[in-house]
Order: sequence, then C-alpha cells, then structure tokens
Amino acid sequence: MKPIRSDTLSIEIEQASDLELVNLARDGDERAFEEILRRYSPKVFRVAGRFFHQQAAIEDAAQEAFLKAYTQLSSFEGRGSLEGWLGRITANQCINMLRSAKRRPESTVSDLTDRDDSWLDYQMSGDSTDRFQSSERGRDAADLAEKVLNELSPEDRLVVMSIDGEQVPVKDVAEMTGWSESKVKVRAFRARRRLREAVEKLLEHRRSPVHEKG
Amino acid sequence: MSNNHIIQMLDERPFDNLSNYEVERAESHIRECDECRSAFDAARIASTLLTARSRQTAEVPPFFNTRVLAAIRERQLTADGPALLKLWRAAGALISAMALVLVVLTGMTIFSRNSLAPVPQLSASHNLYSAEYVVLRSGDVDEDEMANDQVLDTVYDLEDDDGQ
Repeated sequence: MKPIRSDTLSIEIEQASDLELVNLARDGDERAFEEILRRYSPKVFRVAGRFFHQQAAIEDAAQEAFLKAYTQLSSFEGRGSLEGWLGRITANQCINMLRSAKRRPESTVSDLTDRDDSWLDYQMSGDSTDRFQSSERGRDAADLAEKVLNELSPEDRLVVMSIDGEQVPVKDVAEMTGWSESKVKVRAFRARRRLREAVEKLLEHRRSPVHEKG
Repeated sequence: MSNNHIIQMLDERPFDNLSNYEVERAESHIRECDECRSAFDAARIASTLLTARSRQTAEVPPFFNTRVLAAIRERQLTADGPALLKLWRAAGALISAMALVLVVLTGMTIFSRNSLAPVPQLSASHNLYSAEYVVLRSGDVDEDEMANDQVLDTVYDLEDDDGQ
C-alpha cells in the first residue's frame, strides 16, 4: 500500500479521466482518490444498499469496498469501466461480509408485525391502483421486503434486487458479478422462484392459526 | 394453459415485464387453479416489495470521503508497524552484536587510559655522557666501545712498553 501524499498537480483533477485518476492514486495522490470517492460513492452505496437495509451497515460495506479498491488499484488495467470494477468489488465485499459474519438476519418472515399484516391485507384486497398509498406504506413495504430477502442467499438477493427491483440490465449484472450473462439469467430464474416461494410462505404464515393467536 | 406453464412464466422474467396479454391469460387461468393463484399472488406481491425496497436509497453521508481517507492512513500505519518488526527480526541479532562490540571497545579504551602509569620523559637537554645516562645504560655495551678485557690488555701492553 503506497502512502498517500498531497501535492500540486499539473492537470485538473476534476477533469481527469478515470484511468488518469487511478494512475495518480496508485502513485499515492490523495486528491485523485478523493475524486474517485466523489464520483463513485453514490454507485457503491447503491450496490451495498441491495445487500443491507440499515444505513450503518451500508456505510461500513462501502468503506471496506473503497479500502479494498485502494489496495487493488494496481490490478485495474482500464479494460472495463472503473464504475463496473468498483461495483464488482462492492458486491464481492458485501457477499463476503454476509457470509463470513454469518450474521443473524435483521428480521425474517417469522417476525411479522401488525403493520406487515396490514400491508399484506391491503395487497390481497385486490386494489392495486396505488401500490404504496403513502410514503409510510412504502416504508412498511420496504421493511417487509427486507424480511423476505433475508430468506435468500447473498447472490440471489443481488440478482433479484438488481434485475427485478432496479431494472438493471443483465449485461451490467454480469459485469458486476463476473458471471456470464447466461449464468445471470439462470441465477435470476432460480432467485425469482425462491423469492416467490418465500412470499408464499409469508402468506401461509399470515393465515396460520398460530399467527392469528399471536 | 397448464399450471407449470404459468409458474414457468412467472419465474422466467420480472413480473413487471409481463405483457398485458400474458397477464390476462394468467388471470383467466388462476380463476380455475388455486395453486397458480397462490403463485401469481406471491409473484405480484414480491414484485411490489422489490420495487418498494429499491426506492429506499442510502444517502452518502457528508464526511464519508474524509472517513475513508482517514481509514486508509490508519491502515497504512498498522501495515508499516509489522514491516519494522520483520526488519528487526531479520537484522536484530546483527545490530545487537555490533552494538555490543562498540560498547566493549569504548569500555576498554576508557579502562586502559586510567590504568597506564605516566611514562617518564627524558630531558631534552640530556647529555649522553652524563652520570644519569651512564647509569641507565650501564648494562649496554656499545659496538664501538672496547670490552673490559680489551681495555686491560691495552693497559698492560702500554705498561710493558714503558718498562722496556
């Protein structure tokens, strides 16, 4: 890891290309790496946000991803985009964090609240003209989504969140994961089925007598 | 339309990407098939949940860049620590030995200065024929000087010559 240094540059950092920034940062230029941070933090946060729901967890994952990117700058050859490279590092970082920590999911489908029940009742009523009614309903839905997504593996979660949730093209997901496009499609097919089964389980759990008593 | 066909269709692509025609066909089918109705409802709700979840975007906090740069510096410091330790492990014995030799040499120098007696200095105006010099050099015989026997022989020879 080369030491960071701050010095004057002959070129304007803000106008430098991604590859120029990488080369400068590789030589220890702090301002160049700061510019990379400024350009791609939103993207890295967006990718980390597909894995984690809580802000603190997203920030930790993003920071670790950038630290890893800094130490691996020499491996970036400029063949692909810096954005894709960072997205891939972030996705791998998040998957590793979820696997290595073997953390208990923040919540699962067995932890249904009254608000979850209320939201599901509304959805099952058949009136889907306004999916979320209000921002509050939207937050309830996001919380419930987290419980369902926790039933999936990190890879399934990434694929289904990217393609189905954010409409990210299969090609971009392939670049992010390092998989072939056909593998992404197969993975998405399976992930979609698992997600659907998790929701069916949720609906069954909601209808069960035990839950009604609780 | 078979049950499998609907489920296959639901899993093949995002629910929101189904065409109106496909949705109408599915809705007509699920009126008669409970299993497919359950799958269809679950797929619809899953799609809604994913959309809601993806709307919840995390904001980059104001001092995130500063925090990352500080973390990089901190890790550099911790990375440099073990490097110095490795260097010490590799060359520590040599450096210790050199330091020990230096200390011993310094000690010996100081000790020898204190223990040696002052050397008597000869006077600059000393006379090679003075009594002091003769006493000091009494044991020595100069090559140019005659031995005692030669001196006696010479003396006796002179006496003999006088007697004659």
